[in-house]
Amino acid sequence: MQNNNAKNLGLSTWKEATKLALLGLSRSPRPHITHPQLSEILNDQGNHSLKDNGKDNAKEYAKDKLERDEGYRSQITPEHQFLNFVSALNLYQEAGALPVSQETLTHLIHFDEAPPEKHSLVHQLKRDHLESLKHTPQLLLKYFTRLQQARVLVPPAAIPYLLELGIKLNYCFEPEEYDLFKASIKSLVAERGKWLIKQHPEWHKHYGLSLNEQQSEILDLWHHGQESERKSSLKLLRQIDPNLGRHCLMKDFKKEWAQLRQAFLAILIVNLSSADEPFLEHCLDDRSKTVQHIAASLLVCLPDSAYINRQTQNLSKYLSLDALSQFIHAGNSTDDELLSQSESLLKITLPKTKLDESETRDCLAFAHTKGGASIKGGQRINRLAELIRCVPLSWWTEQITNNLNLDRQVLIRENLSQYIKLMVNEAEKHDYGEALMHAWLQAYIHQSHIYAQQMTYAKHRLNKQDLNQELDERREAKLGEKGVSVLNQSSTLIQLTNDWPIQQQAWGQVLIDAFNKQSIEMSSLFYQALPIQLLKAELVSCLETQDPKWRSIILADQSDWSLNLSVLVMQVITFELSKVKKRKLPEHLYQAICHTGLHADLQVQTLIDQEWRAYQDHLPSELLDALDICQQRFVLRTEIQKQVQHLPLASSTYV
Amino acid sequence: MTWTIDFVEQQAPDPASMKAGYKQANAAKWRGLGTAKTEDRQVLWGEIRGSGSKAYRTQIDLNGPAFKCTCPSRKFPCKHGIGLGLVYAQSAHNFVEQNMPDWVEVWIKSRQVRAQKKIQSLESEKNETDYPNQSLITEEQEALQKKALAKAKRLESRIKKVTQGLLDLERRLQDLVRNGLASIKEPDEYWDQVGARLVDAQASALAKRVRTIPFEAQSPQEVLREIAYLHLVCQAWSQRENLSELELADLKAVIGFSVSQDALTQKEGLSDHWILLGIEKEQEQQLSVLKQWLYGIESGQLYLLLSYAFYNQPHPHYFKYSQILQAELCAYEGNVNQRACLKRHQVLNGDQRGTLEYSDLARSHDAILNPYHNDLRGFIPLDDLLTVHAKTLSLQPWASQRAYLIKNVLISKSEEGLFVYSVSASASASASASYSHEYTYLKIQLRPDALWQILAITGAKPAQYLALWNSQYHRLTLLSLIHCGQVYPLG
Repeated sequence: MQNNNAKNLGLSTWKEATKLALLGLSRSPRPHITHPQLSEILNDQGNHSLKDNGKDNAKEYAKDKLERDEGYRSQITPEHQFLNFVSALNLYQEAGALPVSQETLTHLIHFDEAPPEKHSLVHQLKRDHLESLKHTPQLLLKYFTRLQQARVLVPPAAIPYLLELGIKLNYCFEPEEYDLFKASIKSLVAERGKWLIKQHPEWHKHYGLSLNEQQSEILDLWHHGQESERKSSLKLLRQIDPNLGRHCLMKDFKKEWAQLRQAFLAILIVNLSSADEPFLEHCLDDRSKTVQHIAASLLVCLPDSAYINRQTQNLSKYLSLDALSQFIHAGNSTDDELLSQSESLLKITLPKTKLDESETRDCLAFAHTKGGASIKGGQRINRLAELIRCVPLSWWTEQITNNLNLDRQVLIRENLSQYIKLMVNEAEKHDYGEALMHAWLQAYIHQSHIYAQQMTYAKHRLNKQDLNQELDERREAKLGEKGVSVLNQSSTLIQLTNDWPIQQQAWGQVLIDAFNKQSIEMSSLFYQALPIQLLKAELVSCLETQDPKWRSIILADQSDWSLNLSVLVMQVITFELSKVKKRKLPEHLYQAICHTGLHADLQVQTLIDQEWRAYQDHLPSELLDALDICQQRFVLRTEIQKQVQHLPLASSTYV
Repeated sequence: MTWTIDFVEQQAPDPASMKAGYKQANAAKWRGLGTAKTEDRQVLWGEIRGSGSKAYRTQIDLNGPAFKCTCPSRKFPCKHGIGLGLVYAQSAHNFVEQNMPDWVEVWIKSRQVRAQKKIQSLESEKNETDYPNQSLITEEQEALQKKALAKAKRLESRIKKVTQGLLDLERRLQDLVRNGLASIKEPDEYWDQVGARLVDAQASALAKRVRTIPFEAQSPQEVLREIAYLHLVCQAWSQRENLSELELADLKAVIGFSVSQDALTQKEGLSDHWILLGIEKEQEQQLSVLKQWLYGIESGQLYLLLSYAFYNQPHPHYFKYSQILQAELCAYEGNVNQRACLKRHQVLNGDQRGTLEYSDLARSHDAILNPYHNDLRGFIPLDDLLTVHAKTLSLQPWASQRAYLIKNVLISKSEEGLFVYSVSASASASASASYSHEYTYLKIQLRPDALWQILAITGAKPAQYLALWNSQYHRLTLLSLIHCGQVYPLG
């Protein structure tokens, strides 16, 4: 206590000195000073100032600098005394510094010691690797899962970085993958990490609780959070319980302002199901135009919605397949006979520019959905194209089966592709053919995406026990039959007809052929919508036959390449490179080179170095950069592969 | 000299250049890689394509080493130089021994001529110092005398300038307290001006201190502390005749008199195994200041290696946390000066790639630091820090900021901020006693994420730190954490 008193006394004197220094010693009226030595100095200053004033001559005062310097040196002025005083006091305070007393600290937390680790094999993570792997989250997930299986730990110093990385990469994964990713991180950071997570509020929220446990917290955030927090909490709510999410939104929907209504409504795409339909229909009457559009674009994603039915009915007003059906019925379905027909069998009347009331209500702005570029040819054609885009492609074949009284299943088994080809042929003959083709393509792309999306969310809702197996099969299931069965298990989700993927595939095949006559960019857009297996098979066959289609496929393909594929691509690229004379490297080559580098294996890498480096002198620096990227990615991949290979698998070997 | 990857990395002016250098370190990118040996040196060369129309010609004289490249980079050595060096370190077989091309020969010849000149001048100096009593006064000796005279003259004029500058400063300080601190309208401008005058007076260190006042001192109370500090310097200088030699050396260091390292290294230094415990890097306009804290494993001595470099030039020594140096360090003169310079040194684990990776943080430290774990030579308990600092201040009143090695320290959190505290042996022994809570708490300055780094590494167990204590501002800055034989930078 004595110490504290002394300290306080020192501090109060320092405050007085500061007050004096701030105001200036020559200032009057003077502040009230209690410290005896300071007030003495102050009195001196008074006398001194009088003396100065007595001289009353500014010139004389500043007469000779040297003289004044001497004066400062010899004469002890009050300012000098004051400075001496504060210098000494400052030094005393510095030397006499005391530690902070515990009593003055509020909510003092002493951290408890961390528990010991259960096993001790430490894997040395390379920060550089992690930084580069951030851009390929799938590879990172593989790497971490492998480490998790080997039951290794990371060095304690890497724990905070890893935990932060897990939070940052939240948006790179689909929900179920992200859970795996988080689990692998939690296993890597082990006991020390779990202990840290408990102490750190942010990490605790992220890693400490499962999504369901977070529900009340998320609800709280939805009701009281900031805009961005509300958006993310709605997204999470839709993931946990889609109905709850919708109810929350419906409750407050009218109170929100238009821009927020748009943003929130768009989030309903997460786990969208027919249960959302009534609400979306209601939103078609919203005050805001954009909200109406978003509601429409969501309704388009529900293939059996009333909305789609209305659009289908509309379409049948303008489009008749009767002539085509009769033609087929007459048995004239061979190509030769078709070619001889000069007039198209498709009968099309364009919609009116002016829409009636119900049409206006359903007004679709396709710009909000994928594949929604506008088509050349004016408003009426675009209106028709809009209708085609949202009507399921299966409608077209249904028209024919209905007209001919054919069994659907028979048609699908036997004549599906043939009929679609027929329709495409007829469309190409028609005046509006181009528009029709584009609309079909967009419908195809749009519907593939809806399907893929539905698959993802359906899976998320499945039992988590099957998750690992599911993940491996996810790609295949994306558009395969399996996907449908998976989808059907989840009753709240839309029910698609079982032949949907088959129809989609058949349309895809016919449209590929039709569109390969078009530009690279146009057809690559098309390829993007293809299922991966189909895309790969297509790529390999094109490469083998040196079909120039490979360019557009390469632009579209973003997935992993096998060794064989890499070698094939490499060879073709080498051939093309020898033809490149211009300074500019074509986009598809650049892409191909980067892509090969990313997935290349040692064998390909040697080839790359031998073959491509030869061109480095007369090729632009762009290519050199691309080659560098190849090299870096390759080195990284091999290093990681090596690391992963050397990890022991049996957990029994550890302490 | 062995030409290792590690050695090449040391030559890089900054981490960015090193990274860029690695991109060039691919033999396939280079053309005409060659090497040649002359009687006194070996030289490497190669050509590489960059963004320019002509390929860049890069060459390295391994003795030195010296780099030259035709690229326009202002960095030295440039990424091509580093790249070429790395290629040689990784795969020397790529370099074909052959005759030097013209462009290499010209450079090497010019280097040889320069080296010759240097040797001559060194020899002549050596002759003079070896035989000072030779009665024969040669012209060279005369010149030397003149040199010494000029030096003395320069020193005299500097002292004069400093004296005048400090008188000027003292007058300003007195004016300031007479008219009041509140009379300063633009503190930045005012102190910058005062700093400029001190630069003119050749009191560089003091000038630097003055210029930071507007940033460091947040309240009038703190400004007054700075004024008190400056006043004390002026007073001490005016009475310098009464100071001891060591005290004068301290004062000169505070003002900014430079000390010749050549003269320092004439004396015997402290030989030990040294490891790097902390790095501070500052940028002062175009000048980069590098502070490296070295710890002598046997002696427990902590020394500061201070070096300056223009921003694109490399620092003479840039050590890594993983390295162990066998070195002799010579301390600067003064009662409490922590600064030292390297007299000779050798990196013992030179081949080890010592970049600051989690993985690479030297395990070798473990072997060396751990035996000292029980006594941790040179480390003081937190309880003693304030006492030791008070003693230091009694020897040198301007030593407000000083580095300490503290041991057995824990971290706690409160609403007022982060604190370190120590569980002293006596306190933990009497844990049940009524004053068991009497820990020493000191407020620390730390990046928010560094707290989690520390907790992750130590698991809330007592640890050792290299810390800067600033008694004027009452703050402790943790520079690095030393735990289980490893050093983790926190800055």
